[in-house]
Amino acid sequence: MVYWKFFTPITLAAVALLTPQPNGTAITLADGTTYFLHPPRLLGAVATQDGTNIWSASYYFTLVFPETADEPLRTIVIAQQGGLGRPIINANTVQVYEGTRTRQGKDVPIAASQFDSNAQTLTLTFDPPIQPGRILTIRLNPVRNPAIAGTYLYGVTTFPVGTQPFGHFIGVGQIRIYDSNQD
Amino acid sequence: MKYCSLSGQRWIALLVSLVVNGVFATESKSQIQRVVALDPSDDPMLAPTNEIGPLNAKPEPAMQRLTAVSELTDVKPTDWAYQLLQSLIERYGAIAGYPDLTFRGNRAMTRYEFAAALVAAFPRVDLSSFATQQDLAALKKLTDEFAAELAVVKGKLNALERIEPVSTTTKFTGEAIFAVTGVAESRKAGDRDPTDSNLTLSSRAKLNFNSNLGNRTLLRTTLKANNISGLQNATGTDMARLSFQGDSDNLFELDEVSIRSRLNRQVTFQGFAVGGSVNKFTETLNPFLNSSGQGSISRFGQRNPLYRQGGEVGLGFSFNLNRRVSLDVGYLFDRGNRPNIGIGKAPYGAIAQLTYEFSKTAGIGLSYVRSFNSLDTNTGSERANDPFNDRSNAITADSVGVQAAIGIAENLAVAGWAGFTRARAADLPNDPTATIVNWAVTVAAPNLGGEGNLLGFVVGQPPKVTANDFQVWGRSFRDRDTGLHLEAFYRIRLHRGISITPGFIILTHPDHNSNNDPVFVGTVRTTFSF
Repeated sequence: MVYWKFFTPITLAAVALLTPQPNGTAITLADGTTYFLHPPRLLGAVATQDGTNIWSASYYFTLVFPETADEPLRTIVIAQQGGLGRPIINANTVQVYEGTRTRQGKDVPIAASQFDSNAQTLTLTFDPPIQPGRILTIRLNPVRNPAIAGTYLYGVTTFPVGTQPFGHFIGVGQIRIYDSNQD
Repeated sequence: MKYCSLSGQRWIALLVSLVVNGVFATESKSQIQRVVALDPSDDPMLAPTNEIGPLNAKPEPAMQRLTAVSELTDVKPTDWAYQLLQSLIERYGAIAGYPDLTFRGNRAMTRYEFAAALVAAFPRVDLSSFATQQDLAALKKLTDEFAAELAVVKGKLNALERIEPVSTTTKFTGEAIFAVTGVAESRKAGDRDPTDSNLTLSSRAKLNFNSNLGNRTLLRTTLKANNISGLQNATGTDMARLSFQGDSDNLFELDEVSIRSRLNRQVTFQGFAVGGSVNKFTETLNPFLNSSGQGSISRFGQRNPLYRQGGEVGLGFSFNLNRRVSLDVGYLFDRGNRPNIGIGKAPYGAIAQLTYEFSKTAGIGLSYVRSFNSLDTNTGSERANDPFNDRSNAITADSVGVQAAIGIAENLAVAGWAGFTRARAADLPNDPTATIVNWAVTVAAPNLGGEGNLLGFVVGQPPKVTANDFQVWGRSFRDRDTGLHLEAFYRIRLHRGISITPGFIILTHPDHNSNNDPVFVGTVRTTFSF
């Protein structure tokens, strides 16, 4: 299962083995669309407090941004795709740092963080953009866990720099919420 | 085939085949060059066999392009090549006729004519949309570079194709609990016998199937199997019950079948066929301790016992009146399936609760519960469970509860409740009434010592009969002393999906009787969530 990678140094080793592209040139189409050569990959997502209706929970999303990506990372979009409840994410307390949840590295500054409660979408913008070759972990705080238990799915999309960046959908993170009212 | 000796119709066939086979793609360019470079002298067929002879014998002005075959005077729709010519014109604009609008399809063609026809076709082909030799090289390089990944992806796809999901709409979650529990050696409440103080290991497994019926409706089916024996037997009092206890001899039974539907932005509906409970659609305002697998270890510490009145079958509605105010109403009955009782006489509980949220982390709820023969909440003293000493078969109870929760710091929450019940026995002489009171304060410190942890405390007084008209042996059947429920637990999250919760409960004056020895309960609950 993917989430085991959170805790193993194997992931770190695997990333280190990805050798940088020698004379990498960014992929830019004639119309200006930019692409990652190797897009980031979502390793998994996890909730710390997973009971319904409680606060003080954090949802972690960890992704690998390979050295060979070739383009710096400008934007990350996390959108809720499944689940009956509609938890609100506090856009002001979002944190991004290098490393995994348990092995935190240095903080990555966020230029803008916006949560759209109609689309249930969080948009994070980085300025300066994030350079390739690191593991990134995003920590979100729901204002409160949803009142309805279930499996909540969050799709993650990443955008490179450029006037017309192409959004790479890099995976779905599962946040499981368990019912506190069931005895 | 040699172009120079072809009849007009045959060169058309050649051109079509060249185009169709991708003559304009990179690799085929060299073929054209080869064809054009052929030396006519090696060909025995070179000698003009056509009766009319080659076109260049009598020079004519350049050929002109056409827009339809019908423009040609010497090609009829019945000619075998008519469709071929038409498609060449439509797709490539590659047909050229003579200025007199004849095609002279039976003539041989000269190299000049072939070149002219080719030129007529070429401008129509946008070479920029085809891959160049360079692109192909890059593609091949990428294919080689990603050979391993492609193999992996292909393998995964093959595996996926073989997997047929059982259901695309049902998601499965589960929880397993292993608990080591012990009661300290003393005397059982209301009894001279010693407590059952041997250490036990017991378990509970719960499997949830959450089925999405459309975007807004969730059908939940829960199966449960357990063998955690009730501590009320070991200690002599319901106050010692654990939140997660229950014994089905480890046979799976249907624990819940419910449907939950968001009717619109304001209204949520919940219906129960099995396993309903008032708290399942009402905010109990004790969020951190509410859960039996992850919260309080005691039954009393989970929530105000008022929420335990009512049956298992029924429905509830939640209305979000505005951003801060919500109203929960519902009705749950029991044993309505039995003909000797029926729906009309079934024990029931009905609730209406108004909840006001100061913020998402602070709120207060005011609830009213009306119940019939459903007073026994299994949390308080024996008299609070049955204030009319088993004499009444028509107990109606009106209960009022107030509960509040507030996050006083990022990782510190305090909650509390008070419940007041007035029960009346309609079938006893003089309609005696009893008053039952309970209260508690809980403290929760989430994420203490690590993310996902929870330290919790409960101090409270389980349900107690404070006044009663009903008399036994000429004395009011009420609790004369006050016992307290003290509890502490610390949930440690070891790993995603695994937590371990040591905790203990102290009951002073169990059953609200100072003649009883205090009861100590200790447990270590290990919870696996998946």
